[in-house]
Amino acid sequence: MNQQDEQWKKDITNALEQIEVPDSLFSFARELPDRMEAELNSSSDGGAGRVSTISPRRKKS
Amino acid sequence: MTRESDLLDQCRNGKKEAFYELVEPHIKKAYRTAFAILHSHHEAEDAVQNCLLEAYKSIMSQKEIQVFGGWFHQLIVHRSLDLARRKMKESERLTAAEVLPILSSKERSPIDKVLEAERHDQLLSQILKLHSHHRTVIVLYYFQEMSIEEISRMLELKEGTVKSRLFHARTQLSQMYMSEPKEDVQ
Repeated sequence: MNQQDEQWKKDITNALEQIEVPDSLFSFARELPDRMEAELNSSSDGGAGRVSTISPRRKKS
Repeated sequence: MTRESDLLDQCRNGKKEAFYELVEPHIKKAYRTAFAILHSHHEAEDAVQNCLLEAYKSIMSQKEIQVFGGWFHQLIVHRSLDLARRKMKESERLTAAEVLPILSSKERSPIDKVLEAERHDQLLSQILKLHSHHRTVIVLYYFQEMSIEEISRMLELKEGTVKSRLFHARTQLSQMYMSEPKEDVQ
């Protein structure tokens, strides 16, 4: 990358870092192993066996 | 053994907290990449959630992953592009009013920080106004730090086409940024 490219990279990275990331993604990642385990257990008991990716963000305020 | 490969082993051995420790450093960049490609909050969130799910399943099925961070970001780019291709026909675009609420609302007291943040916000708005072809190469090249060759393989385009899209994207960003009306600072 030349100097001009480096400046573009810095500007574009700074610009994209203004995008706020929903907290629900971190909760989703934290809870995923437990949810997968629960789904597997439910599956072996005849449940659906599929983790839903529907997160709390779908709630209307 | 690197910290990442240690965490991968811990996940496989049933230590649930290790998965979060492994993915947490990559979530913000993954979401921002997905959002920049997809131009939609819901789709970006779905893309990241699906990638987290896919990553967990891959880890637990003993898939060989050399460098988790690189692998995970490749995954988010692929899945975002898949979604973007699917929705290409719809060609929906957010209006400026819809874009603005996504920007960080954190207070920045020193005036130089405020001005700098405004400049970044303006550039972000311009990036989001680019055609998806141009937006994607800009994000992959400058934000995901992929080479022209890697982008060319991923998008199934000739390297010359990738370079041309990068050139046009930069030109458009420069033009849009220069023509953007600037408000006087009181």
